[in-house]
Amino acid sequence: MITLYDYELSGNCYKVRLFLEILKIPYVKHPVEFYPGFEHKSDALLALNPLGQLPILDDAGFVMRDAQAILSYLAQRYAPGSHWYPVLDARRLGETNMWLAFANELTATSSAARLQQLFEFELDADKARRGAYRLFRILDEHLWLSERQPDGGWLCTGGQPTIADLACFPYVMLAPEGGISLLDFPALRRWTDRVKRIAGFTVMAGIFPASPSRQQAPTEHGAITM
Amino acid sequence: MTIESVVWDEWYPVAIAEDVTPCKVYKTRLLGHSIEYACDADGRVTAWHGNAERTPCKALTRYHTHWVSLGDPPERFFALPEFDEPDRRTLGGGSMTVHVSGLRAIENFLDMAHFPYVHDGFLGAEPYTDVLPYDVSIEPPGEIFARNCRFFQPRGASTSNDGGYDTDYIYRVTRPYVALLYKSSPHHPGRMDVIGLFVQPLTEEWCRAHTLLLYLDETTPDSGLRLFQQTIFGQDLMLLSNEIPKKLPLDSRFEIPVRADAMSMAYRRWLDQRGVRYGTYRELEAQAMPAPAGQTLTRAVA
Amino acid sequence: MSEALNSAWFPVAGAHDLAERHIFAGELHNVELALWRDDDGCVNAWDNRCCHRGARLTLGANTGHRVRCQYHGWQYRSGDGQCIVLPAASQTPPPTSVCAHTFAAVERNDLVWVNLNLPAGHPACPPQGDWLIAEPGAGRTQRALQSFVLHAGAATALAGVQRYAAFDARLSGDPSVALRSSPRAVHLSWNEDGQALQLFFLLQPARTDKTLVHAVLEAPADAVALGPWPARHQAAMKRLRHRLIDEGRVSDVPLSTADDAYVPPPPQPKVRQRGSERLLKARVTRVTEVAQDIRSFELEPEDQGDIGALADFIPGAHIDVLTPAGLLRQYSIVSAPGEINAGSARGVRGVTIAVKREPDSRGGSASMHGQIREGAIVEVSRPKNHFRLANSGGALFLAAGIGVTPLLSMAGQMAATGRLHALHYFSRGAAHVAFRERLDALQDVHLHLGLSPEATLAQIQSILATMDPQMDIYVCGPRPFLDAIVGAAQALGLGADRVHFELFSNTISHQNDKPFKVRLARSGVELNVPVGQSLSDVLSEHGIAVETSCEQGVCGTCMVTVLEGTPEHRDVYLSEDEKRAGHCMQACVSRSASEMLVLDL
Repeated sequence: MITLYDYELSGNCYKVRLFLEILKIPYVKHPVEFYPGFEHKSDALLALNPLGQLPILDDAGFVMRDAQAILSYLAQRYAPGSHWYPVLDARRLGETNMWLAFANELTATSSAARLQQLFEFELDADKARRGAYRLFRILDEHLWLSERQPDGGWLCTGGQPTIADLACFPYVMLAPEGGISLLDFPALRRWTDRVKRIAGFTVMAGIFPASPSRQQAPTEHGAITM
Repeated sequence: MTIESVVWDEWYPVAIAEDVTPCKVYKTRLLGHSIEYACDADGRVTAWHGNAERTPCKALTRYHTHWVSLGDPPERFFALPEFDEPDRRTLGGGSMTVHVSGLRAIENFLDMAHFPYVHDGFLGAEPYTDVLPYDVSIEPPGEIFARNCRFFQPRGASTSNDGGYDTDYIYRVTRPYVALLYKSSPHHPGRMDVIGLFVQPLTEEWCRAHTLLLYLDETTPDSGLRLFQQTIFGQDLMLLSNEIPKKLPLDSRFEIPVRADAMSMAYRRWLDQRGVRYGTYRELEAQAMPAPAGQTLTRAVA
Repeated sequence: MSEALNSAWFPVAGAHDLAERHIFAGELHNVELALWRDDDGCVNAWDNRCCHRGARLTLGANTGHRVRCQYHGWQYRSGDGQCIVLPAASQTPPPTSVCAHTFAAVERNDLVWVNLNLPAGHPACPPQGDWLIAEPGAGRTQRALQSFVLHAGAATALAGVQRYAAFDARLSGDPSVALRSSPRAVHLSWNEDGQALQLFFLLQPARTDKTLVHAVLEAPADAVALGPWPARHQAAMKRLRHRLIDEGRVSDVPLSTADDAYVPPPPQPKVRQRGSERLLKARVTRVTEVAQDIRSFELEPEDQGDIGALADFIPGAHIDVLTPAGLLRQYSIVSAPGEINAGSARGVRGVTIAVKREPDSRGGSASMHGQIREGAIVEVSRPKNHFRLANSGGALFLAAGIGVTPLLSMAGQMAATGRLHALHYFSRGAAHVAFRERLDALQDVHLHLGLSPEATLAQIQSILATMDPQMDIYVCGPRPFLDAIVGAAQALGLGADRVHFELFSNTISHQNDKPFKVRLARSGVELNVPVGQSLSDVLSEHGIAVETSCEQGVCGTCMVTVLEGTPEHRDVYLSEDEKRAGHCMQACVSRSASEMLVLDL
C-alpha cells in the first residue's frame, strides 16, 4: 500500500493526490503539519527527505521525494505505456520533462508568493509575483498556439494530458491566493478547465470543479443541476 | 484617516498563544499601523508601535490568544465559559492572511448557505441545500445570536465518516471582528464544540484570521483537528479573495440578501447602527445613491 | 441610438476566446467582465460580480445555459441574466431583483464587442469609423489572432502598435505596406504572394494603465495564407512588446490590478424593460390533437438572437402566450428542457404546450384552437419557473385534466434522474387522456377515468394514505381538486409544506391573506390591498414609489412608517421589539392585522 506524507493545503502534495485519484490507485495519507507545526522539518521527516519538503511517497518501502519525480514513477509503475508519461517517444518524453521542470519554476514563484501571503513566510513576495506573472505569460502563449493544433490543447503534443499538465496545474489555480490574477491569461484559464474535466479529477481546498462539458454526462441530482 | 471609536478602542487578536515563540519579536499591522509584539520567557505579551519612539500599546492574553489595542478598550472582555471546562481541548487552528476586509471574513463564518458549494462533501452537499428558518436575536450585552440553525453535513468534523447527519449550530457575534460558532459534538451528544474566529484587521482590505478551537474530543491529535479546520478555511479563502468590493457594503440594494441571510443581515445592520465604518464600502455615498424613502430609524446608507 | 452610447462599443475578446462551457474574464475601463457563450451560441457579457455577496462570477461555472456562482450556487440564465435557481430556498422562485448586471454584446469581425452603457438585448450597430474596420468584402474572411496585453495607457499602446510592421520579417522593409491610424486602431494593408492582406489592430482600454491589442487578419476566404498567421503574429507581437519594455515605454508586469480598487459598472438607462417581461416571437412548428378538446402546440424561437430563449427552464415552468384574441394567457410546458421539436426544420430547441378548449373561454383558448396553425408566429414570454420540484425526496404527482401538463414535464425529469415518482391522472374519460406516449415513458402511472366528485375524493384519500413517506405531493388541476387534496393531506397529518401546487400567480403562498385598506397620511389617498398583491406592488401601481430590493422582507429597504393600525409582520428584518411597537413595516411582504393602516407616505 502506498503511503503519502501529505499536507492538505500544499499544491505539491495535491499533484500526487490528483494523479493517484485519476489512476484509481489506493493509498494512505500520513498527514504532516506543514503549518503552523513545521513538521516537515522534524527529525522523523528529515530522515525520509533530507530536503525537508513535502510530498514524500513510500511505495512498499521505496521512498521518493519531489512531486514531479513521484509523478513519473507512478506513471511508469502503474500506467506504463499510457499517455501520462510517453517514455517510448523521445520527443514527447523530452517535452514532458521540459514542462515538468517548468513546474518547479512555478513552485519557486507562485507557490512562494502564496506562502508569504497566507502564512507570512519570510520571502520576497513582489519578486515572486513578478516571476510568476512572466511564467504564466509563457504558458499562456504556448497554450494559445497549442489550442489551434489538431492534437493540441495540452502542454505537450499528442492530444492527451501528461503528468506535466498535472504538475503545472495547482500553482496556476492557486495563484490568486498569492496575489497573482489569471485575468491576463485566457488560454491558460481555458486549459485549467480542460484539466478539471479529466476523468477522475479531484479538488483541493481552493480549487472547485468545472461544470461537465457537453460530451460528459450531466450530474445526477434533481432540479438543482437542471 | 480618523478611525471611529467603536473600532479604535477595542481589543484585536495578533496571535494564538501556542504559535508565539518566547523572546522573539513579531511584526504585524493593525488598523493600518505597524506594530510589534513579543512574549517573555513566562509568556507575558507586550506590544508597541513600529515607529521610532516604539510607543507602547495595551496587550493582554485571554482565551489562549494575545490581544492588542491601539486605543482605550473596554475593561470587560466577552464571556466564553466553555474555555474553562476541564474536559475541553484548547488549540489554535493556524492563522491565515486574506486579502479581504475582516468584516467579510466574519460574515462568511456566519453563513450556512455556502456549505454545499464551498465545502462540498464536508459541511454540506447537494441536494440538501435549503436553509430552514432560524432565529436571530440581540442578547445582552448587545451581542447577536442565531439559534436553531441546522444543516445536513456529510462530514462535519474530522472524525465523522458515517454518511452524514444533521448538525445543529448556534452563531454569535460579540464584536465587529469577533464571532463564535457552536456546533453539535459528534462525540458528546447534547454538547457543542466551539470555534472562535478572531479577526485582526491589518488594514481595511486585509485581515488575518485567527481560529480558536475548543473541542470535546479525546482521541484526535491536535494536528488532526487543525488539519480539518485548515481544509475548511482553505476552501473559504479562495472565495473571500474573490469577493468584490473587498470592503463590506452595508447597503442592501447593492448586495441583495435572501431569507437564509437573516444572520448576516442582522450583522450588517448591527455594524451600521454602531457606526462601524472601517472595513466597509462607502463609495456608494460618493455616487449619491439616495436613501430609501420613508425611513424613520437612523440608518446610515453605506 | 445616441452618439455617446454608440461610441461606447469596444472589442473585449476574440470570438474564439469564449470556449464551450467556459467563462472568459475580461476588463473594460477598469470594470471586470464575465463573458460566456451558451450552448446555443448566444454571447453573454456581464459585470463579473454576483449581486448576492459580490463573488466573482469567473470563479463559477458555465453549465451550458446558466452561470452558477461558486459561493452559494445561485444560477443565472443566459440572455437576461435572471437568477432562476437559489439553492438556499429551492422552492421559491428567486426575487426578480436578483439578476446579473448585463451588457449589450455582439460578435462582429470575429471579435466580441461590448457596450457598458446598454443592457443585453439592446440592438447592436456596426462599429464606428474610428475603428477602421468594416465587414469583410465578398470572398474575404476575417479571423481574430491572439490578443496581447500591453501594460501602458492607450496612447502609448497605440504608438507601439503603429510600429508592428518592423517586427514581422516579411512586412518590415516592404514598401507596399500601407498604414492608417486612428486614436483607437491601426490598419495595415499590403500584398503578399499575390494576395491582398489586411491586419486590423483594435485597442481595448482594459484599465487606465493596461491596453489589450486585438488583431484581426482579413484575407481571401479560401486562403491557405491564414495557416501560419497565429504563430507569425504571436512572434511579431512578442518582439514588439519586448522592444517596448526595453525602451521603458511599457511595463513588463501589471502596474495595477482589479484588486486595488473596485470600479462598479456605469448606470444604465432606466427605461430598460426586464427581460422576463419582454415577449419574443415563436414559430408554431406542429399542432396536434392530443385528446378531446386538447391541442398541443410545438413552439421554437423565430429570431436568431432568441435562439436559446426556450432551451432552458425548470420542469413545471410555464410561458405567457399572447393569444390571437389579444389576451395574455399562461400555458404550462409539457416537454423536457432542451428538447428539439419533432416538427422543427432548423433543429432548434423549443417547448411544447397544451391548450384545452374551454367552453366559456373569453377568447384565449378558443382563439388558440381556432386560429393557430402550423407556421404561425405567436408572441411568448421566456419560461417562468414558479412551480418546482423539491431538491430531495420522491414525487407523487396528482393531475386533473389539463393540469397534467406541468406534472408530465416534472415527472420526465424525475424519470431521467432515476428518482422515485408516481403519477395519478384523473380525467373525464379515455378520450380526454392526453400525451399517452409521454405517459408510457414514466415509471408508475395510474389513470382514474370518469370518477364522480365523491369517488375522486375517496380515491385521493386512498392514494395519500398509502403513499411512500419519502414523497412530496405535486398537484395541478381545478380549484376543487386542489382543495380536496389539501384537505385530505391535512386530515392524514401530512405537513402542509409537502403539498406543492401550481398557482399562476407570483411567488409566496397567499393562503391566509386578507385584503386590507391603507390611507396615505400625506395625500389622504386610500387604497385597497387585495389578496395576492403586496403593499409595495399596490403602492407602486398608484405611482407611489417605495424602493424594494430583496422582495422577501430581509433587507429593510422597503420600510414604511405606520401611523395607525396594526401591521402583520412577515419579515425577518425588524427586531421583536420593533415588531411589537408597530411603528414601521416592510411593504414588500407584510400585511395588516387591522382593517386599515395609515402610512406616513
